Amino acid sequence: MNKKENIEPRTPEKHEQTRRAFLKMGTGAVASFAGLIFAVPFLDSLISQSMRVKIGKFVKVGPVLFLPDGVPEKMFFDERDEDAYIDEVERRDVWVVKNGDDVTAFSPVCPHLGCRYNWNAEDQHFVCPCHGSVFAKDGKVLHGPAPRGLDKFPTKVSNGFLSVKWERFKLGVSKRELV
Amino acid sequence: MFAKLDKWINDRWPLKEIWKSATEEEIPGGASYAYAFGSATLSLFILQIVTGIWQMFYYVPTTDHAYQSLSYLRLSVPFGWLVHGLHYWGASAMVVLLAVHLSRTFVWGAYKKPRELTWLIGVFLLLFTLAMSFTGAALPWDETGYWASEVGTSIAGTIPVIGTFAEQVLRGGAQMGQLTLSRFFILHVAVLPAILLGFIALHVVAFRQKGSIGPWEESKRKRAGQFWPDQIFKDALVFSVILLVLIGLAAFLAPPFSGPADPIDTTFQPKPEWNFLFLYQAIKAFQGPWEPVGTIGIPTALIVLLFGLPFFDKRRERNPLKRPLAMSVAAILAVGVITLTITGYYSHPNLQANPKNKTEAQSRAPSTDAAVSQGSNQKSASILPVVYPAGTSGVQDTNQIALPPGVSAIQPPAEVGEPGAAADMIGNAGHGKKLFDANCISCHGKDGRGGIPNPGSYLGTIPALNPVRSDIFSRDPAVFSGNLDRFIQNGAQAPGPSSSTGMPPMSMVAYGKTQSLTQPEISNIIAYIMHVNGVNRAHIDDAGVAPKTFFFFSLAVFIVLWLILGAFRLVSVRRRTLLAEESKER
Repeated sequence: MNKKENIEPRTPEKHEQTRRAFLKMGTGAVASFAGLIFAVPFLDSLISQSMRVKIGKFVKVGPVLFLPDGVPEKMFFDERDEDAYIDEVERRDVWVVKNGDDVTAFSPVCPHLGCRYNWNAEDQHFVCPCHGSVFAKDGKVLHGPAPRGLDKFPTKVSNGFLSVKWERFKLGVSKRELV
Repeated sequence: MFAKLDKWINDRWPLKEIWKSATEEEIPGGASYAYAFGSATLSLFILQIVTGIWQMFYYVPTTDHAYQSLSYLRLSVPFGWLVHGLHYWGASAMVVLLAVHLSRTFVWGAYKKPRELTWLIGVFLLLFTLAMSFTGAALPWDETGYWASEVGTSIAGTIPVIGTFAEQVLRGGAQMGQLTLSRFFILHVAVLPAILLGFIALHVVAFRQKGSIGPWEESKRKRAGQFWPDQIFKDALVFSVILLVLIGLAAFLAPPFSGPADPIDTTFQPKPEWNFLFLYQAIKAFQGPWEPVGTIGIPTALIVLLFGLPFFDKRRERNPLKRPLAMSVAAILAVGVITLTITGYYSHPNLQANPKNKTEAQSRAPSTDAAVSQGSNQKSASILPVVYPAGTSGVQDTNQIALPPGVSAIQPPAEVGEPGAAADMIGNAGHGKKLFDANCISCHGKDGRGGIPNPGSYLGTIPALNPVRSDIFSRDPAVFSGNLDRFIQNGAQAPGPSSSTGMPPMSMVAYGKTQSLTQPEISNIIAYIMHVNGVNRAHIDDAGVAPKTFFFFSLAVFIVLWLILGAFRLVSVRRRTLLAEESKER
């Protein structure tokens, strides 16, 4: 008797139950797979184009011959830029510090969280208005939450004219990385 | 007639049953004003949906039209101020009400078994509401919204491993732009509201499953109240007060115009919405390698704490006096968040750290030496005006030259040139003052009071802007703005022969045409000059009904409504006591 109870009797009802459970699971699995096939392209349409890396080109900024040595100067220039389907001329800005023949062009974007910082002539340092990061004239962090010094653009000087490659860097991290 | 219709419908659709199940609910310990905040939040959410949809009849989610379309709604559409004002203040009220509702639930111990799931869904609702607040703030594409989004998405970018991915998917690319606005827009008006509606349904079902929790004292739980009409009455009263407060805020405290978004502006000091100020303040405390603690650690810890609460605190005890640990942790957190919010509100890192700080443009302005050398160079006079130290207003002019007949001493606005894009942008006067002090003060004097000499010109001085010339001034903000913009875009010539030293009169730079100032910057300066001349750039030209009048009208209507509600209430309470007495007698 005991032995008989332990063995699962394969009654038609039981058979029906396992068959139904299998069908339920199977339908669910097929539906999920179908859903996934749809989800991938739909999600990809939102993701892939956002991840494209823009590569900057050298653009002429202006003459640096007469810039005073060691005084940061905000310079502006225009660059043709595509914002998705909108093709427009963007106004760009760059902080230029000249030291003899050496010309440094700092990105105007605070490497902390992307605000535009200012030059404080009195205290001789850069200050970001958002979270109070302070940078020295050479771009080093003096204090504040910024995780790294100011970002430098690649520069070229020919015939006294400065050209820079305007780029965006990953913010809020200590390593400098292009985005 | 109605009975017939009622039957016809109920034979086909279970209207009566649904109404019954929605309204018939026993509340242990009776109805209470303390329980009204959940339903008030729901009512407010419905108001947000309605005002949100109404705004979309006018709003355009593009970077070049968002700000102007919203300005148009607010200033030129009858009751546009009301629709936008209610939505703006309603968004803040949502967060406040949620905080109250959450605190109430916490104090009453209503997150404990068997109501854990109701609490968890509630935490999701809070997070989605904050996401609404964040995405909504970007939509006006004004300075406040633009910079809050720039910083907010950058914070997302600092999350380890998935940061860049999260940031760029949110922005629709590496930089803020049209795709960012499109994404925030669709999240704000479609995706998040749909999720919120779904979670609200889950929340209400979960709440009804276990019912209202009632007081923690056994003795007080015996008396039972009914959801309809006892609690509904209190809910209606609370929400009507909230609605009246919102109308008052919209009427008396219009949301600020922070000026159109300007990605290269440095004079604007960006700050997040008030409900994120505590995080903003916390970020500043963590520097260098500790930064992620502030940006990611604190929010994550708070979220984990909220989600984990029903599982960390499993005791059945609900009386707050007998839950010292839970109550003190919550009190410390609340005090911390409130303190950080207040300090965040008052903090001005750039300005406070150094009150003598010069703006970038001031430090760029030529020194006295430069002014001297400029004076000797005739060509340069038309490029940049000589810089006088600030505060030289009221300098006596001795150089005025007699005006020949038939010659005008000034250039009329129409002759200067056409206005630019800035003329139609609603600038921010406060921000405009900073820009004015950096760019215009050297010629037009402090507060635009003038008096700076212009040798060689018929006027003898550079025209004052405060008060401005009568042919430029207009009571109509659009006309006044256009007139001022003609000058700022195209510059101006000062008629005159030339000074005794042979130097031609100084002329004004075409700030717009030469792109010395951006259009948003010009719009802010215009708003400031209009402000000192007593004209509000953000003046409502068609209010429908004047905001204040509308508020007092609403107040009267609400008082009548309250009186009617109160009368109903009295009658129903009276009737119930009579019925109770009758049944006792039997």
